[in-house]
Amino acid sequence: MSDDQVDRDEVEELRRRLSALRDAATLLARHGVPAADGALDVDTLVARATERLRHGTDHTVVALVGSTGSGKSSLLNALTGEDVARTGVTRPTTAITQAVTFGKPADGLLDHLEVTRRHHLPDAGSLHGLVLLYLPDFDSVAVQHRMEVDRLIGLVDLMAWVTDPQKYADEALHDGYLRPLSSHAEVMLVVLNKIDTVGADAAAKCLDDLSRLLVADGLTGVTPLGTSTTTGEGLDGLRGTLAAEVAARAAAVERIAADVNAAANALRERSGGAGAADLARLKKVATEGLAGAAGVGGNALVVAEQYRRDAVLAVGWPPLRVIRRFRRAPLERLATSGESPIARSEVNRTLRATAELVEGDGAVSGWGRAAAATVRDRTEPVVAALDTQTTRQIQVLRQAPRWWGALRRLHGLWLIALVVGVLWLVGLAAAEAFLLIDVEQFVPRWRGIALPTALAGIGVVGGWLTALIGRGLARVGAGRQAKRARAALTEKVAVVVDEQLIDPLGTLLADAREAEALLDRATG
Amino acid sequence: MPHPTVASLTALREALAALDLPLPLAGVELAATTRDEALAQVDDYLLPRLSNVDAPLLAVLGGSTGAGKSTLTNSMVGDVVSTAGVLRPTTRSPVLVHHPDDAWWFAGDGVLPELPRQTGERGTGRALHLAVTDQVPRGLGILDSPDIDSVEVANHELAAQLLGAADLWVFVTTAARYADAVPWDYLARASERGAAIGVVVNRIPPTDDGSAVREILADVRRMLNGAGLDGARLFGIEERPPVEGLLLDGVAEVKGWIEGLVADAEQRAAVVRQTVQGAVDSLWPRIGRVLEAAREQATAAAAMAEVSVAQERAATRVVTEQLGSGVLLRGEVLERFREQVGTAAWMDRLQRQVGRLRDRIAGAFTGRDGEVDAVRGQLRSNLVGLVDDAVTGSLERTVEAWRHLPGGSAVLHDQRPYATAIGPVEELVAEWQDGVVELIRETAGSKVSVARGLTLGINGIGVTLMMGIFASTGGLTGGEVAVAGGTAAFSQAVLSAVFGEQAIRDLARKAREDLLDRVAALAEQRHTALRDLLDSVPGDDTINAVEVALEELSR
Repeated sequence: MSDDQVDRDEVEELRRRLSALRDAATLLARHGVPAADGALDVDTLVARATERLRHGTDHTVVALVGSTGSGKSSLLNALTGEDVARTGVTRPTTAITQAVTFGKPADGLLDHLEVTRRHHLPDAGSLHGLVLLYLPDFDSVAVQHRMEVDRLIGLVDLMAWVTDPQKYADEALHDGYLRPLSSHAEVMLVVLNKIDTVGADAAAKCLDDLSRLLVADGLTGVTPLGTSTTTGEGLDGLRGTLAAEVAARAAAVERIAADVNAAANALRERSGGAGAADLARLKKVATEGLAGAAGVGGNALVVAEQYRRDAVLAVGWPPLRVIRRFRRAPLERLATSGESPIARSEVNRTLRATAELVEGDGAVSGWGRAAAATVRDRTEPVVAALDTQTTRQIQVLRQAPRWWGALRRLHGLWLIALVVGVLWLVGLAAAEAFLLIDVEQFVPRWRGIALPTALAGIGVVGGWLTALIGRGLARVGAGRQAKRARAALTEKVAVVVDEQLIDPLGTLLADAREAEALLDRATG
Repeated sequence: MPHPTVASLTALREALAALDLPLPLAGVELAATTRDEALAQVDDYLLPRLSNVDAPLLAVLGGSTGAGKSTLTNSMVGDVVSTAGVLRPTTRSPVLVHHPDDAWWFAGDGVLPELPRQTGERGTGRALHLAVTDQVPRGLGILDSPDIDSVEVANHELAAQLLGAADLWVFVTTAARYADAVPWDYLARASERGAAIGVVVNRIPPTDDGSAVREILADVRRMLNGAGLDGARLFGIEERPPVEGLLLDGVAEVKGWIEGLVADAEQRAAVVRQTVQGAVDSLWPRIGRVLEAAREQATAAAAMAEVSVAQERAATRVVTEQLGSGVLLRGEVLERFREQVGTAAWMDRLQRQVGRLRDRIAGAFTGRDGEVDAVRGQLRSNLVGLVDDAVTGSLERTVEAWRHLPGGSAVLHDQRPYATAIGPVEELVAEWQDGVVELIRETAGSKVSVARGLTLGINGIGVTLMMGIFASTGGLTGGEVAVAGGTAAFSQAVLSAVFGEQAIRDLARKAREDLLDRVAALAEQRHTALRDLLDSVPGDDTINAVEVALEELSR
């Protein structure tokens, strides 16, 4: 495999990580975790990195950045062997970024970096491919210098921080830049310039002390390089380091990788873990609370009462039904949760309790908040869904059972017997009174009991017995209906909980896991 | 203008010290620093100096790390009193060099009274290391202060305090550093305070014709003029290796200037006058900025408090409205069924009672304590739910609004800063119910026996009355009107028969007001606890006190 092939593979891998980062940021933003503010702007980062990768890894962009008066310009002149930068005694000197391209022009890349002052060295030897940016200082009274530094250190492949024995412990350097950039240790050089001003012993001590400060900044593994443009000390070492970076052609990729890691870690911190929310427990708590709010117990009893009434109407002695019909139907008394402030406040309280449960320890994490908000802001849809489900279920529960029909037909039979018997008796009585016929001979008897009388009697007694049995059955049925209604209504509440709470939370958790996976992929 | 009195300055100091700036609004850190520095300057410099104008002068050498302050101090004294080092930053205690005769002032609590004094081996931290030598003229103390710009943040704070206590600032910088942003922040402060000041540019690269010195000094002079420090004396010292730790060239000039100020009584008085007057004058703009920040804080806190007060009222209003709508009774009607679930004989009761609700409710009150307690319990649980939701909801909305107000998130600290315990709400309702019964006992007197004759126990009357309060037809639909209306009518009829109509109306009104008062008290208590988070924000009185004290100072 050629070097180019390795490069291309690495760039491809980095592109994949960038897109994973962008996807994670989009997903998080959808759940209210911002991926662009102040310190972090994923979209800009991705756009910037993509643009940088488009220019390939043939060039390595190194920023020479340092305090005012730390001798950056002398260092630049020493590295280029030409008098590129103006050196002066008054401060601050550098105002505009100066680019020096070694061996290979890099105009496209410099356009991307928006650096307009360019100097080209065609014959660069081991530094062929280096683009050296000479930046303004970051600590002088000139604010626009600092802004230019802040802009460019976000874009370059490698940062070379230049300081000196006077300034190496400055707050502006350590707290202002090195500590916040500790995630970028891999693409950072620190140069202690002007070591000739303090003598060899003191220079060694300064370097040790600077190393200590760098470790405190979180830049473990960055070894400061002592240089002097007066004596030439350390310049070969610096040149060698730069040459190695240029030859490896890895700095651009490493820098972007460091950016991606830092952004992914920042996002991870903001979002917090997806956590292992106990959805089963949540569902139990929410269902119990909402069942109370929806009045499942009360409604079940009303349904049962309605059933009993319907049953009695259906299977009672037919002539009496007419009167009973005028009584008020129990179902009219039903209250749905939407109309009742009590029910509404109970829904609120249940959602609040559930949200607290969801939030748990993750109260400060992005996902914890998103999950709690998912639950908390759902009073209206939950109330509506409870109403719909309850009303519908009660209608379903009102279906007439088969035995009503059977008893009804039986009642019909008894009624016919009664009517036939009575009409017969009436007919006989009329015949006897008006036609003066002895009807005795026309009356069939069985063991001395006249058939019409028996028919009427059977009709009455049968109707009464059937009504009695019907009542008993209705009573038992109502008891069973109450249980059935309770179970069915609770079941519907559980459906509401599933649809309104558990499913959105499940989606949220799935998104959280996906974002976590994407961030893991971005971290590489 | 005459010097202010010690008393008025002390009063200002006390008023200013009471001014907290707890909300992290824009620019608050700067304002807090300004306040702390003003306080420190009053304590460390103005009060001691005003009480003793003739006390020795204090010259403070301040400046960047590595600017050569220690070497300069040593060179002026002609002896190594302060160790110079290559390692940055040094955390050693600042050295104060003075003449043996001035010990009464410097070793005592004359200046910088709250800093500990230290002699012998030089230590680290916040203490003044005293070096006594007769190389320093009488009436002068030279203080080598810590740096203002290293990673050691404690150094900056101490340095700022020491500079605040100086009669004379000697600001030391170098050729490589003089354009740094940080020193110019300090010089701007010196300019505002009108302090007597000298600037030393050290470590100028030596040139044969001295052109570097000229060029740099001209540049620094330009910057000083730009910062309003036209009166500052400017010195340049070329970089040469020190001999036995002392610089030879250039130092004499600085030394001569300082000693000249001390030796000449008139000049000395002029320096003291300038610095005192400058410091006092600067208190107006400085404290003005602090007051502005304090007012912003007060405004932000007031906006938050306003939301809380509005929500507190809303909570009570919600309960008021819902009481009037009869919802409690309505919940109760259905709850009456609920309550029976699980009892073995429910079918019997259903048969006996359901469908004749009015009879049943009537039956419920005729002395059967179990039934009365059940109704009372149900009323209580409905009322608890309603009040809890109203109060907690109002707290929730307040906190949500605060999150979007300036400074709000910081006050809340990502926590739930209010109580949600249900206990107090339950207590509230139970106490109210007891109160209603008590009220009836008081009002009714002998009539209770009549009620007893009607087999309505005193609890029965209480519950009937509570039902009466809630039983209006508002908000009820369908058959419920009949039920609730029936209940109300029945309750009213029973009660009126016993007590008379007017008495019942009064009772109901009192009971209702009592309940609303209790709800308002609970909402107030919880909202007050929330508003307590804003306690440390300065109120108008605290701000006014500072304004008055400042006014007093100019008299």
